[in-house]
Amino acid sequence: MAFPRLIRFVRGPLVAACLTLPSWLQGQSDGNEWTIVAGAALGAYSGGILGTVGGVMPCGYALNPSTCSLTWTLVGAGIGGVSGGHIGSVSRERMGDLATSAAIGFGVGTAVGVVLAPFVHHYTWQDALAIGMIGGAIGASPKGAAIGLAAGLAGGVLLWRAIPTATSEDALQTALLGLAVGGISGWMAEALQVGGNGAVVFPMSVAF
Amino acid sequence: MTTDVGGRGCDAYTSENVAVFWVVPRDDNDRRQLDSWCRAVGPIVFVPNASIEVADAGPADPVVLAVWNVSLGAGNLRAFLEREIDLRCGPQPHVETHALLLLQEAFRQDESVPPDRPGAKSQFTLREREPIGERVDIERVASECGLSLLYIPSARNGDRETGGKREDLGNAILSTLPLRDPFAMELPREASRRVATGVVVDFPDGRSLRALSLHFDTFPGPWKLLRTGNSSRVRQALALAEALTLMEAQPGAEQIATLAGGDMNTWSTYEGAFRQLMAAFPDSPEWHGEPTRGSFPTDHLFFRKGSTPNGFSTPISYHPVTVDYNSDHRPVIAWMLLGSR
Repeated sequence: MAFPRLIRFVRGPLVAACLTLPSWLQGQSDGNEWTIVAGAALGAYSGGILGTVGGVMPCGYALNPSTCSLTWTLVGAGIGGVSGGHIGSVSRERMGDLATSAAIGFGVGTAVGVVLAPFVHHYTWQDALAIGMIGGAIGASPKGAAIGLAAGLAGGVLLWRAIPTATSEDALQTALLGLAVGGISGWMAEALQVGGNGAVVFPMSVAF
Repeated sequence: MTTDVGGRGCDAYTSENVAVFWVVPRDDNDRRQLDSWCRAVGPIVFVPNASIEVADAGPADPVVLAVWNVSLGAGNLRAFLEREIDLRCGPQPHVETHALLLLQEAFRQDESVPPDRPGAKSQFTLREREPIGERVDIERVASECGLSLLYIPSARNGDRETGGKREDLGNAILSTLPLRDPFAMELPREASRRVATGVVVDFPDGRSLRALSLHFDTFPGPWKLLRTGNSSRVRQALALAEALTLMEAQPGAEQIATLAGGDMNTWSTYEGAFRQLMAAFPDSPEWHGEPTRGSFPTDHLFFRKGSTPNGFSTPISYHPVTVDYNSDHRPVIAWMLLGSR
């Protein structure tokens, strides 16, 4: 199974990230424990959902797609959570902006979900909620998601047209991957950008 | 999966009119939802014997196999039978060789499909392409062509009604050979109710084969997609394999070869679902390399010899037909040679 191997692969960086997080917070003055938690939660939610969406098509090729999808979700949530926690520690204002943006995305997504209901087979209210959740995840990292989606879509269409054996599925897959990678990268870029002078200090050695 | 259908809220599972062996999901939530779909459909149709004249077919002559999604009657089944299998329907149906057809999106249109009931769920009305000529349901095709038939409806086709006749749809098996021991595998609910339809086919020289028509879901809804990833077709493929194993483990079950075919809605032969079924059916013919619905390879044939092969071997000459006969899927054809036992 891929999941245990992936856990071994990522546990080092994840442990390192968690251990170094307190040092990132040294000298940052604007956030408090609530904004850190809120930032981490928002980042984990956004990154997790984006990871799930990005993994939808590639995981269709796995013999165990559920495990594959969970892996993508956890990686996205991990990166998003760490980034979000840092943002929340540095800038309450920026955290507020991201939360507002996520709420708008959730609202728009839910509205889209409700509008689609009469036209989509086997639709439930939970499906509308799911679209809202995807909207919220994108809304929390809108620039990265938009750039990633555009790049992925452009690349996917080129691939489809240039390679005889490529199909529209490949174009869609590339677009979704772009959305996910762009959105998650957007969190990392935001975390690196906010504050501006944070130095990463390892308080102790970490065994991988 | 389980063979326990106790407590199910739909008559089809325990009906004695047509005694069908059911294998169903264990999950209670799935079963509740599947019951509501089941209550909206009409009864199972089972015509065990064919009346068609099969000329010049020796007891061990090859049998033509076909897998086709007939797109709710848009696919011109009678034209396909005539041109590809040389099977003539009409007052005196006639064919040169035995045939076994595994069909998906077959529909039935008559008063036996119940009107709307409280708690019964039907899917949105599916509209097929404009048919060429008259749109004929599966019971009429079987009757007019003198074929044996097993039709197990999966879902009601919305509120569609013509002259008091309502519609349901599902998988069907048509054949020039006699059928017996019908069975059904109700797959885990991903987007809609899907019932794999199966039967034992008796050949003229006394050997038998288990045949199964299947149809997987395309995509689950967004909620299920977020919760389970893109695992719908893999779950249905694994459930099908488990169900077959359960059937074969029943006391007195025949350990015979199994042929399965249908519309898997796969976008690629690298998909996990296709690979899982190729593993479960190790004697399957190699994929012919062509798409069967647009640019996608959705329709497949699988085979396994079982512990008592009885001379059955991997089907040969496996290929899609050039013409789609007005369906959105191209039919797939192969031949089953009957070697010595």
